Amino acid sequence: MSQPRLNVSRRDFARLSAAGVLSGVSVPWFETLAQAASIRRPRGKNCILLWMDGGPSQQHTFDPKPGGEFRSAATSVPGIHIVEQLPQLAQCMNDMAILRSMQTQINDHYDAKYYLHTGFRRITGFEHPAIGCIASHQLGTPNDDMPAFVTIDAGYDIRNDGGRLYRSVPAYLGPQHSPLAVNEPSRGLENLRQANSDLDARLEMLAGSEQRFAREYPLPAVSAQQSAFNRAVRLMQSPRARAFNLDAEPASMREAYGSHRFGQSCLLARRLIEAGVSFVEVFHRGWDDHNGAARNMILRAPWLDLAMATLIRDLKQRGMLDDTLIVWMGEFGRTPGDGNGHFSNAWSTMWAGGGINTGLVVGRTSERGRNAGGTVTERPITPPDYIATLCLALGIDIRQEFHAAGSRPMPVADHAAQPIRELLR
Amino acid sequence: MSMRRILLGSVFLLAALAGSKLHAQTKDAPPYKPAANADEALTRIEELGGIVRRAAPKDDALEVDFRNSTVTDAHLQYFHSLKMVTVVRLRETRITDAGLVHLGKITTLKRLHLEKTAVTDAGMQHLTGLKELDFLNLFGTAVGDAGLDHLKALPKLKSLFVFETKVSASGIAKLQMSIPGLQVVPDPVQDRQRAEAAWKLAKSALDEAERKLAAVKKDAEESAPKAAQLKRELDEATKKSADAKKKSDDANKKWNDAGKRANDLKTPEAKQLAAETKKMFDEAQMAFKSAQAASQATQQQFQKASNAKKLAEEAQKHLESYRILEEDARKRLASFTRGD
Repeated sequence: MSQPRLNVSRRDFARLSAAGVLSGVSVPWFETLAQAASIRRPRGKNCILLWMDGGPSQQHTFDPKPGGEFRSAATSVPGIHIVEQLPQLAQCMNDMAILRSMQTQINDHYDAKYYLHTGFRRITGFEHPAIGCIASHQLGTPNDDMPAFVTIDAGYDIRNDGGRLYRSVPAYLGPQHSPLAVNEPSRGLENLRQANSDLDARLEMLAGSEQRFAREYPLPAVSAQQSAFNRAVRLMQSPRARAFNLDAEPASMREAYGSHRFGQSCLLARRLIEAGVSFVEVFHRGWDDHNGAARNMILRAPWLDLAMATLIRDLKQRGMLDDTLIVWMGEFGRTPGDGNGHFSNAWSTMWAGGGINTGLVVGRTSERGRNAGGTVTERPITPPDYIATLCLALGIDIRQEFHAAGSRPMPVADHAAQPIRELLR
Repeated sequence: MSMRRILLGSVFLLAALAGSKLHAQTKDAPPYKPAANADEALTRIEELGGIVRRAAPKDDALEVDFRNSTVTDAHLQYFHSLKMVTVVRLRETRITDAGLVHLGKITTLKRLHLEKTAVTDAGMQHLTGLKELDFLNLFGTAVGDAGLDHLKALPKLKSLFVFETKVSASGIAKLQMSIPGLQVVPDPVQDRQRAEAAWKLAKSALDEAERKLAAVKKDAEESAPKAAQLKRELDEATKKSADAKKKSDDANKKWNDAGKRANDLKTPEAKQLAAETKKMFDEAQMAFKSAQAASQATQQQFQKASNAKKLAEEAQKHLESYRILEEDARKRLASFTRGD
């Protein structure tokens, strides 16, 4: 096959071949040929992933223990308690689900980040696509003005760096599913301005020369460069790019999310989802609290509580919460007690909205004893379970296979995955 | 013309560029042309920039998403050619009350998004035939209580969104009487209750943090003068311990020498001397151990006294966080009293 690889399922592949697409004949996008019954694109669910890089402490957030450093407090759902340092979030519990039994085996930052972003262990010589790229591939609209996957860097607060940052890689899904990166939420896409009035003429000239090159060298790197370039041009000319500009938001709304960069990132994430982006990953760095989780968590609590509670409430009142899954997590939790060390054996993540079952807790950790919270006592959740559930919650079929290099079939989620059924409707 | 015309098989820049230029220039939608069958209707919908999805993985139900499309009222007639449409998204499109006439005939419809469109009270009467509708989003429209009155006819309605509309609390209450179990968002009564609960929690955490700060401050004040005294005591104890160690080491050496001598000579006098030096070493070692323990205890007291200041500083910093948490929660609660 001399054409750049198309990342479609086997069934689509057959249909596309039949339609003449792969022979280079110009035909409209295959959906327009499809019978109503053959439409496969899932319902438009979106996801905002809030990634706390370095590993947030479960006992100082969503799984407090008696005698722990933080007191626990009642939430809006009777019987569910979280720490008292998140008062507004506690009142959003009806729209949240806490997953307390994460059991993920890897205590090393980078390998854990990879595992929790892909559902597969990191191995030499093979790259798995990140969940954001999978969502872009499955939920995004091809050739849309807006990118399907955007990452936002919410920066540092405390420089407790958890090693190298994981960058989402589309791997065999194709370069068009790489995220568009926003480095500073308040500046949006700074370079997204047309500098010269003769841009169109310049682009056409460039296209002419590039076309020949692409024909002679149909390599993945060439199509990667071109897909990134095309995307930038499309976005630059689209009125929808306004979504990247936070100044367009009323001052009261900007204030409601909090002046902290994390809050502004959450607001930007909401604007992007509203404008048609399928997956936004906001990462906030410096959660590797080897010098004690309590003292750092209390400093983070005000902006974390305000931003997340506002995000949930804002999406809800706009009628978007049902279609937008919010996921709060890091690569692992922290040791029971003071939270000084890495801890992958029993830790928590939080999901909200997304049309999943909410107002509940999945799993349980040991309540008493010398090492309370040290073990999972109910429904351990592995990374494959986790990613499979996330895919299903977003409407992605986990039984389908992608084709990695050499036509190697790769499942969306590991075959051993046991999705968390109690979360799914 | 639309993005749909972009050729899938081609990754060439020219094609994409031409597509985007045309798209950017397109202001008007292609005019409505009747569709002969479902396939034609789907094609037309996609020409408008609409996206058709499967509403659920296990059945044939469809979702039609017109967000960011050029759809107008007349185009909604394409729905007459489609079966099993359960979700329709029209957010921020140019549709008006006239378009709702066509939507009102999609009897399979479960979720309808009309947010930020020009629909009004008058349009709501066209929706009364949607007996399966369970989700209706009217956020950012001009709909008011009169429009809500028509929605009484929707028996399965479970979620209704009226943020930034003209709907009043009494209008909501009246509708909720007619449709038991209907959740209306926002729900000012529930939101206020939750804001109050959040503030109470934040307040109690702040009070606790203040108590803690007072305690550590008191501790720090008391131990500040003590710290200097303890430092002197610590120096003294350290010196005493060092002296005792030296004595113990000397005694140990003497005993070693005497022991060796006794081994060589094997005389009763030598043995006697060895036993005596052993006793002296034991005593010296005991004295050293107790001096060392005393020094360590003083060290701990001193550490505690000098840490008290640091703890007080940290507690002060943490109190600021609890203050912000309380202030934010209070502000939110106050917004309900002001009637925001």
